[in-house]
Amino acid sequence: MSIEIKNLTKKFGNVTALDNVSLNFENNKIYGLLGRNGAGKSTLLNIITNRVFKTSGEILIDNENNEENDKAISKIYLMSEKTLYPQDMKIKDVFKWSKRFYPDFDTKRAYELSKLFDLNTNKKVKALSTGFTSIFKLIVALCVNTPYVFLDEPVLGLDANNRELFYKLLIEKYSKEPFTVVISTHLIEEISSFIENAIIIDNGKIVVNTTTEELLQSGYSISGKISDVDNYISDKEIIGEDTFGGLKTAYVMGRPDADISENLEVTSIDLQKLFVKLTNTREVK
Amino acid sequence: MQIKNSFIFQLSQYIKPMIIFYSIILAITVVPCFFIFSSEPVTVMTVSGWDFAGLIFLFVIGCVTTNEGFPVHLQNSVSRKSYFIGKILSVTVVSAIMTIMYTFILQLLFETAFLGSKVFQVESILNLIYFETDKPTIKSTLWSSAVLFVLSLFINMLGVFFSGIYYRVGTIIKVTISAGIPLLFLLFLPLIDSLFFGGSLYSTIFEFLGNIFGVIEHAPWKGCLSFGILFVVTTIISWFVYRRMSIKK
Repeated sequence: MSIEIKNLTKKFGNVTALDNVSLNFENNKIYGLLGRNGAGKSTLLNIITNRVFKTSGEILIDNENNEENDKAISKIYLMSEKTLYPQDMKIKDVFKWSKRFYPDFDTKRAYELSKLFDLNTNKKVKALSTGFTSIFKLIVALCVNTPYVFLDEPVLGLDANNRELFYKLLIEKYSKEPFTVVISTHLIEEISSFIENAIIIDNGKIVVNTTTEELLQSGYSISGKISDVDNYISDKEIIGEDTFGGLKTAYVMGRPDADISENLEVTSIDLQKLFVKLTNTREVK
Repeated sequence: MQIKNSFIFQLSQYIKPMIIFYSIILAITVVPCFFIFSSEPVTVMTVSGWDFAGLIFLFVIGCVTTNEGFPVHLQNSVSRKSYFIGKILSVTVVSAIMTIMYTFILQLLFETAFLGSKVFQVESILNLIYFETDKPTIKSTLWSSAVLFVLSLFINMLGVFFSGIYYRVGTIIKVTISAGIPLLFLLFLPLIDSLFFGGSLYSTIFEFLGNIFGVIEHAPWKGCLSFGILFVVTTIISWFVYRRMSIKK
């Protein structure tokens, strides 16, 4: 039971949004889909859910082709950045129709969560602020009970309290009944503590697809005087450097040497830093 | 399963506009009746064109439902195929409801209610076209209803077709279609007709249309058949528009 993506390519005219992408979303795991603006994250999610057509490749949802296949695509709920519900629809009607299209939708829970987030279900979609628009879509995503839930920029416009509440509810739900979650977000630090797998996409290509733990262990940072650091990194694979005054921090792939000079400080690299260094092709001079 | 859900959703999209439409129709019909009854001497009120008003309504509603209806189906994991089948079903049911409303509720009910006082008459344009009478019989009413139903299917699906085209194309093409079609038929073709054909182009076209729709022969079955074929053709063409529709950027 998984989503298999094989050699997926999507072209918009001359622009290649996804270039021969192959990956699997396994059952009951939380994935972080990370990438810079325009990297191809939303396009990938939209193609999997049959909202956009692929140019070539194959997508199997639990071994069934996804294209124009109600049975396969109804196993996925994609909360997208763009609101696809009619602007004049009331939130309570969104819940009503969600129940019709997704029979496992938990309406009672949706109203409970609405209270928790202080969402007025009598309001129309168009009357909601950016934050509350995200909230109502998150509530649907949390109550829809499909085996796969994709969240594309789920916390757009949410204040810190509501973001925390959402992460708490998501982890609670996942703990009770595991399901596959794919979170695409730019707020990497906020999700780094609970995503099990990280997929980094850059210019339409998958550059990293591994467990978060492995990814974090794949590099480290080393700081000290410029000359000491330069000396240390001379034979290492460097993914980035920061210099401040006479001090330098280098981000190195691999494991630190056993015999490191006392003048150098080794620290683990955080996910966001690693992401920035792996995807940064436009360094600030 | 999703076809049924899609059908119910799309049908619900029609309900509110239909209530508004019939409220307006009833308001502009019933209210004047009170004045007629209270006036001395009693005048006769003739209402004509309800059937065509319904057709315009169906075209407009066909044009506007895709923009919001299609994305919400994508959001709810419904394939284009299921959405389109749901669309055909909803178009059929709405056309049937509109025909029944017109024939049995508006036409017959009002005729019966006011016939004794002879102050209220409902004229069916289709009755006039196919039977050349303003006094409908059961046969003429049934045939007119049949033509109205098939015509409603076609007109509604034509709206759905334009709606799909408008969803897919950019603003420039939208404006070109919106302005181009009326300009072509109301300005350029009549101009060309009068300049180069001495008016025979349009009269030939009207004669041709009159033949295929059974107007000249007063044959409503021909109207049913021709509008039915147009409905099928428009549905097939519309499917080619809808089957590759994607989410808008």
